[in-house]
Amino acid sequence: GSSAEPQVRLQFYRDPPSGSEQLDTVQNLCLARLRLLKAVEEVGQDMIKGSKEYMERLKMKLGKLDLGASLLTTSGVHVDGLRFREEIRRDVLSHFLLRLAMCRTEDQRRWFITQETDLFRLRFQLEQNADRSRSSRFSAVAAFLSANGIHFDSLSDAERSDLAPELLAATPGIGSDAELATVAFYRAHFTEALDLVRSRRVYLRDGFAYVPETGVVSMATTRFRAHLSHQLAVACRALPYLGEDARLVPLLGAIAKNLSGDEWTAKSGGPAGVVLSGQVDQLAKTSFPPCMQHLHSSLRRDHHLRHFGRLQYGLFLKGIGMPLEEALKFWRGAFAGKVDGDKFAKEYAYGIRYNYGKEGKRADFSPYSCVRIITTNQPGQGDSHGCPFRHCGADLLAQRLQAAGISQDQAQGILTRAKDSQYQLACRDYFRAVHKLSSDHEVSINHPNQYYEESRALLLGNGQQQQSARAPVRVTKVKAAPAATAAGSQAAESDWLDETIDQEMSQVDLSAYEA
Amino acid sequence: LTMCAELLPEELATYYKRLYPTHLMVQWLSYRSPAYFANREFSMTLHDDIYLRFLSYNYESEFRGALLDRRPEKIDIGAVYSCRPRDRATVSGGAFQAKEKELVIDIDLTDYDGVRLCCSDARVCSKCWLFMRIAVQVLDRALRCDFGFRHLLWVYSGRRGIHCWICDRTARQLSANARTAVIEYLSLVRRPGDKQPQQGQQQPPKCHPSVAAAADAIRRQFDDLVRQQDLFGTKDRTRALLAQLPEDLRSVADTAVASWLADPDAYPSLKRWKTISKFAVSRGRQDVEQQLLIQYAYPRLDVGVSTGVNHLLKAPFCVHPKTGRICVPFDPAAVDSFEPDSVPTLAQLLAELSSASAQQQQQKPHLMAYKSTSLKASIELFAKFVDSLRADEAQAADGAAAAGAALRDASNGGEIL
Repeated sequence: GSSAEPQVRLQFYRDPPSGSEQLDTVQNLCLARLRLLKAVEEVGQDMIKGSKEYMERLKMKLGKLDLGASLLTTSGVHVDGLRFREEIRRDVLSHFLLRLAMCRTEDQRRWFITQETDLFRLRFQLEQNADRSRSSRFSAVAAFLSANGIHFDSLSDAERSDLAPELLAATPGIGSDAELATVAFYRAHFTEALDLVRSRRVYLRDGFAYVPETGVVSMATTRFRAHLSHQLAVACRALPYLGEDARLVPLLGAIAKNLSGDEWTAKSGGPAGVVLSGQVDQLAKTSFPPCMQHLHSSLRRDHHLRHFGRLQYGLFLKGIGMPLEEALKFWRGAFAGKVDGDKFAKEYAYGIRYNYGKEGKRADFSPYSCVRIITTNQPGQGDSHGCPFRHCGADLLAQRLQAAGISQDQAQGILTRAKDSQYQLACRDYFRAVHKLSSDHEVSINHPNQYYEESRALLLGNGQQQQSARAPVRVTKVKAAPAATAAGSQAAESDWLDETIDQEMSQVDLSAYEA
Repeated sequence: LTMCAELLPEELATYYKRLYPTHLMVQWLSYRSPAYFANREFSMTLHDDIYLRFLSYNYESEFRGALLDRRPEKIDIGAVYSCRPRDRATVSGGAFQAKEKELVIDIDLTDYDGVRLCCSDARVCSKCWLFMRIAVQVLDRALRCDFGFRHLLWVYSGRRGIHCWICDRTARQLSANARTAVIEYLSLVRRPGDKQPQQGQQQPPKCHPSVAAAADAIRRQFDDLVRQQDLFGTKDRTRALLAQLPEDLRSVADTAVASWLADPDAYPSLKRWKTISKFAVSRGRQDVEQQLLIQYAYPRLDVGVSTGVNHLLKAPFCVHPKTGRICVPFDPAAVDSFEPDSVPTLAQLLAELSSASAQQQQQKPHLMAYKSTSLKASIELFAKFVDSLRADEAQAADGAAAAGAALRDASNGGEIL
């Protein structure tokens, strides 16, 4: 018979799952968890982590996603054994698979750790809440901790009253001796409670922190993060030895790329069908992202663009569905007045055909993603390429926002994002502003062509919201582009700063001097 | 002998040969494990600003040889790596990593320039040194009582600052994240140019015990500080003080201030301070008085120095190039009597060496030459520190051995000792 005790759902992900799965299932699980983690990231960027609004919003968003509902179910809710095991398996399997996908570079690892830790914290807090309101004496949190060998030393009543004045003075949220007597306290080495130590919210003595029960989540999360970070480093070193898998490794690679929007290959014809050279002016006004609008207007103004500008813009046009013949027509027309037909054919046509894979090594070059545009080929004097939110000064950017018809308030928000190095979020807010969308509208900008597609979908009355996570397509080139800093700077009010560089990941400056 | 405008290689050579405590340094940095010493990174700055990094030595003799050979003007100590730093090219990129290092704290008087009124920039005098004394008292207490650290080496940095090397095993094994947490816990005042530290502070009247203890330590020395720095002696400084008072106290304070400014000589700095602080306390705002103490005198910490596991910091017993003074360790319990002006200079030590009688020189072997110079006390202090450290390490090793033996016995079915 089944035991009377509720099933524990919270996972520390200590032991990898075994068994076999269809490749399909593997792919779907990975994507499902990836979408989940991206949702975690988005809510974490829009709200202060740990606040009530944050938790409500996250619960709502995750609840709508595949895999999300089962992860949010607390241990008290009883389901039949088969379904329970299935849900646990999906949780554990998707986590371990994503570990493999995200262990390769430091930025991916850091992103993965942050989101998984935030997710863990949410689930832990939900379990704590459920424990409190449960009538039976079962504590899912206690069961989870003991099942994973995590033990926190609790203070006896006598010990607590001995330290009462210090505990009262040091611990926020407890107003009186009477209140103190109702709160359980734990004694842990200060390295277990770093978040609380950092912000001086616990009493410290002789290297030990005296943590109230509300701090247990912080300690558990610290352990979770440390454990995961260590395991990722191990996974990374083991990756070359995974052996074989012409199936798994490209799949994982594509998933990782999907995260940073690095690879984007146009579906045949593009959502707007074929784009003709005569349509570009109008399309630029309504649906191009600011980086491409700028390139287009510079091209019209100067009848010329420099090399990197031609590259960035040309590949973008290819991506929106402009075929080679139209592209040649377009550029020839754009350069007319500065460059005559012969010169164009000699100096520029080759380059255009090269981008379409019709010359040279005939590689089908992908249009640049936001990350790539932001981080490589920094524009100089006289250049028009790059990302305006990154490469324009604040004044010039403000001007452009005004010219685009964006209100003062919205412009201020965008400028702040840009100032905080959150370029892709700035672009997202720009997108919302010019398309007159509310600030809840779900969209995330990782790629100029994606901006274009989202815009066309909106304007063509395609009511459904586009999923911003795209299914991975062929990986044509593996680039080691770092993830944009959009994931980085969170407001300083948060206790959970992602500025940690674990020992395992510390870089050594080997470019220094030789003895 | 030269007054130090420049460190001459010959003088450094004599220093390293006859005075520098090489053996103690190696004993310290080995922590009873030769491999630990061999994996330690050193860097050296030579004459003409040649800088060499990722130096490492397998034995004391190699280290001593390098000192005599290179005559470094500055030696930095870095982390203990996963292999010998000089062999790092033989391992693949990810395998060469900083593993352990002492937790270090660096305090510099220039970060006090907002409140240090007697001098500015490079100048240091006996009056501003009081800030350092306060810093040592506050931090030594916090590191020992709050964090339980026991092996702290406090070192004078040669001109206008101090370093603290925290050498406990726990400290050496801290991750970068943990180091940052420790420093942020200890940070109460921003340095000019730093970003705002975490606002984890309690709302009044709650005051974290550590903050209260720091305020207590500062209060003991604050009257002297106020007097020496004439902290509130001008209109501007007085206004600055008032600006830090909360709304409810400011209006009454304004009246007091008016009388001060009308007759400045009758109200010296100390009197002004006493008036304001007593007033605040009498209004039940002890927290305000504490905040002021902290604002003016709490140590300003350089976070960047402490955070990185692979950060390099100047070693004790280096010679400061600008002042010629030796970077000597000092006893934090006796910090009140520590005088930067009395710290021996290289020139002075060399003079003392050559004036020691020929007979003395014959009797004492080379290695004991320091005993006839002013460096004696510092080296003996250092020796005591190293001994206590090694005793602890031995105990820890024994403990580990005993635990191992007990495990073995238990698995053999024997009794646990």
